[in-house]
Amino acid sequence: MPRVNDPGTLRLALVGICAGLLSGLLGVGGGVIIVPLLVLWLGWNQRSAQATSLAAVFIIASYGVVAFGLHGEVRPVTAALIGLPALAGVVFGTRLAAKLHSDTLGILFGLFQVTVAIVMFAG
Amino acid sequence: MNVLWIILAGGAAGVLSGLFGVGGGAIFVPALVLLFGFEQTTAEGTSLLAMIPVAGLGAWVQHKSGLVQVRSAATVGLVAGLGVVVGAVVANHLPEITLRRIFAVFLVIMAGQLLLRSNKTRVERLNAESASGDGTV
Repeated sequence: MPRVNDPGTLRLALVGICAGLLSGLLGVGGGVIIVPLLVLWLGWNQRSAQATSLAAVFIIASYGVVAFGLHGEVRPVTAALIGLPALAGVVFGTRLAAKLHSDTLGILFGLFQVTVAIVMFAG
Repeated sequence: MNVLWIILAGGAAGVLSGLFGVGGGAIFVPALVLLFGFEQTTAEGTSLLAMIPVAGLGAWVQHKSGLVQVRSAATVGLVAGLGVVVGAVVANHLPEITLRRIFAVFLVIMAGQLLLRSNKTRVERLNAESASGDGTV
């Protein structure tokens, strides 16, 4: 079990709080905030941060589905329609990521993050 | 026709998910709003369901490469439950556009730091490679 007084664990918990806040506020998975926080606060390399983020998003999205599902705001058939092609895409995407240097990934991620921020700001 | 676009959007979201370690909501949500006319909340709920298998498969593929820190992912994911509850309560009391803008600014600041750091590492790596005369990956 992780020790609570371990500074690494505390920082991870803070990352979790930030991701959960973003998810609860805006209904997203939180990956766009987990990855940079793992890199900047915990000094992880980009590749491990991204891989670990996906696993955390898997858990966080599950909470969201329960919360939104209780309000009848989940459409399973449409989720399958958009999610199935995404399954093919994610395998391709991970292979693509594996071919890139961690620093190249970091730069591409930063640009992606700025794009997301612009869309988010515009609403 | 919209079905074709939604399939394409799904594929693109998946590629971004694998490439960047995110869930894909940044594409799922606007795609559902623009192409299917979903309300924002329904788009978010549906997007979250769609990303569960996507993030799960992506994490599994990465785990087989030994890249997932399982205990850390569990810590982040479990603690996030608290954040989700707090976030949902706050979201009921503040206008969404305000929340979006706060987070957008936060994201841009982090992106700037990430870009600087990654660029520094990249320059160091390229210098080391050219010094050793080894241009291969």
